[in-house]
Amino acid sequence: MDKNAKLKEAIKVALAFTLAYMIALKINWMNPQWAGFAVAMCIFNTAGQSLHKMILRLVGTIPGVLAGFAIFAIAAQDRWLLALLGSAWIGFTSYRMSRSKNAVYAWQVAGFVALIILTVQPITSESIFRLGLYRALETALGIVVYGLVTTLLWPRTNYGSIKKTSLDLLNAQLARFQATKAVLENKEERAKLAELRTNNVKQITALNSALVAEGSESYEVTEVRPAYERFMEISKALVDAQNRIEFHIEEFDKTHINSVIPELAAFIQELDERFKAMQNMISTDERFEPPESWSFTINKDAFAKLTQFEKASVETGIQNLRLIEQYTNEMFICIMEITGNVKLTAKPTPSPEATAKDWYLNLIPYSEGLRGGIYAGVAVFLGFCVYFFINPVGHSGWFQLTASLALIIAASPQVRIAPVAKAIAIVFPFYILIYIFILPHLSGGLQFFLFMFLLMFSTRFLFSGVVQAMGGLALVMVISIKNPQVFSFVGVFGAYVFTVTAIYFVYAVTYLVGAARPEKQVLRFTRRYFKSAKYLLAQLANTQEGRELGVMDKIRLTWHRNQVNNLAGRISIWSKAIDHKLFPNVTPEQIGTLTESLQLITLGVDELFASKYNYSESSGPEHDLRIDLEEWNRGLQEVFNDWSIAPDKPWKEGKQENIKTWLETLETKMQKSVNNIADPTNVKLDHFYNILVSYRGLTSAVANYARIVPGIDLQSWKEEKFS
Amino acid sequence: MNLVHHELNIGGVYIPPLFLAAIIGVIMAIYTAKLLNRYRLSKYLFYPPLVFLAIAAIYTVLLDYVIGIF
Repeated sequence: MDKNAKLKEAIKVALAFTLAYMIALKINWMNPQWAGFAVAMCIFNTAGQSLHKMILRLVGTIPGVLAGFAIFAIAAQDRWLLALLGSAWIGFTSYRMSRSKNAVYAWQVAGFVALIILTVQPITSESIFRLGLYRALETALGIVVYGLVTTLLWPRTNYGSIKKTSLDLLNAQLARFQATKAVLENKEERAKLAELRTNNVKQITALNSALVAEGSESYEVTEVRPAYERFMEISKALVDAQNRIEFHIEEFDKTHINSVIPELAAFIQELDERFKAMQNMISTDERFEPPESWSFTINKDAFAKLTQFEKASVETGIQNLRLIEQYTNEMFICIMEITGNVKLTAKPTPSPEATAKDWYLNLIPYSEGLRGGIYAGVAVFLGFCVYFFINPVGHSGWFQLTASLALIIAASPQVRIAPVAKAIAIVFPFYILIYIFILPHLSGGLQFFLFMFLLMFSTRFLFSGVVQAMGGLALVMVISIKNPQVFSFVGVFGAYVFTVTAIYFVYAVTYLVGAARPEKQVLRFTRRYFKSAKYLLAQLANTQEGRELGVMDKIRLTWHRNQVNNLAGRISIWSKAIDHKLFPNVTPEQIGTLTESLQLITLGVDELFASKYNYSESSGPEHDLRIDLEEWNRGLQEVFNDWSIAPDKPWKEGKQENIKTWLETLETKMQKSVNNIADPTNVKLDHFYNILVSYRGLTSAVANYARIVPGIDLQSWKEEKFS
Repeated sequence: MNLVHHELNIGGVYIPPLFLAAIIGVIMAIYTAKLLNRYRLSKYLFYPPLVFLAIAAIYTVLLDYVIGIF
């Protein structure tokens, strides 16, 4: 954000915050700082994102208030039942946070609001109802005031944000094609592709977030939103096709690839032009004609000289190139619709395969979510125990603030807490000084209004990141003025000591459940990853033999596929939290190559499932090589089984050589079997090539992991250490 | 010897002695953990997070007793 935009945003936020606070104070509502809090806690870079978060805050406040009433109604006379119900509610909302796609914040608010309701003094039915009512009312006030300010003062459409993320996504996709071309020409290393792949996935997530946050901001955005959603779906499909091309890039004979597929170089040039045209359409509204369809031919003479494995790689490569051609064409037309070059078409519906997969996923408990829920529930219960038995400074805050913090940590347990605690420890005293030395000298609403405006403006304009967020929090927590106001140093100092202590308390509970030891989590996830990969291969062998899967098998299969698809990403996230001072023998680069090799295995497993091979064929290479392929599958299962117990188990000496020899023997067998087929364009042969390429790709990925892992000192992670 | 603990007066703010003992106890436990890591003694422990809490509790109780004496 440039300085001018930051200045305007800071003025808007400060004005909305102060107006909301002042209105609540003027009308004499209970805890008027809540109205300002709703503004301060939901501010993002764009108004659309901020309003979206505020609406989620209101949506979450209502069930939170109702849950608070229900807990009070059931357990008003029994403190242990109250603590149990409160902790269970926090555990439940934490679990829902982990399963929700677009309402994570609403569940978080629903969780902590219920406990805020229970902190009311005196705790009677009437006061608890009043508190719940004011909480919802003041949150709504904050939203209305911010909405009005952002609409009337320097109104700024957020359509630009969607356009920008779309351009970034197109840039990421173009960069991948250019890098693939460079790798094929031996001008770039394959490692570069992994980095671009990660960036591509990030850009799709960013576009999704922008569409969720900004999507209903104005009619202009609402109108083109279906087309943008289709653009995102096509981008996802394109990523899959690009992944498959990159996955096999090492298997292409790069010196002959252009002679086997003569149009390849021209097609990559065409892709380059298509992406640049799409970027121009979005950024300058320039008009272009839709691209013409492209076809690929194989140079039969050059193809005949290839080995069976190379032929298989080329065949599947062409299938993916055709898909890329089709997707980029559809994407081009989609961008034409978005920019008004052609008429908008109907909203897309999810594919039947995706719907079935999602349906099964809902039946399966999400283990990390359950873990997070148990952690949050335990933390809150311990907070209740501190309040019941010790009742130190902070009092009911011991379960209320603990709940707010535990919900945040349960959602992202890998985030380091120490920087947040340090920021609070440094920022809070500054506001305490203001509270002690300046606030008592202010008289009247106008002076207070101007002063609060100035404070919020400075926080938003002068700072950024954690300090800015903690500044906003400190402003609301420390400078909370009521009607009538009594200034108390002990009160504010106690709140400061309590806040810092509560953060470390929540951290200590995290430490006990293992989240503060990311190296152990990475090892646990890696073991689980290989366990799931082994299950998938075993199940694949069963289906290939023609066995029908029952409902439980399908659920298990979906669970393990989900694990394999997500765990490599989770390992990557957790590995970033490892303290490298504590484990100097393992470098971040080594962890990067490890996660990259796991991602390659994931691609291999995915491709194997997509090949849908069936052994029950009565003739052809699929039938002839059935025993060899079964042996291949079993060999991979054994390797995965070993790594599911010890992820750093090295291969026996000579195993890589044995695989090479075995592949050469297989090549001879395949040659014999394929020679028996009269028609080289046989569908069976295509099918066979698909399975062959998939197994070979997976084996290469597994061999890659086996090469990398002995060089990484994972043993040091297994050793018990204080971290 | 008076073993009844009294609050610490820091600029007019009364701080419970257990709070002070807990802060110093945790800091001492952090340094003990660092020493155990440095000499690779922590590898003999079953679950260091629990041991850390136990060490912090022992230090806190001992310090609380010492503060009580003075």
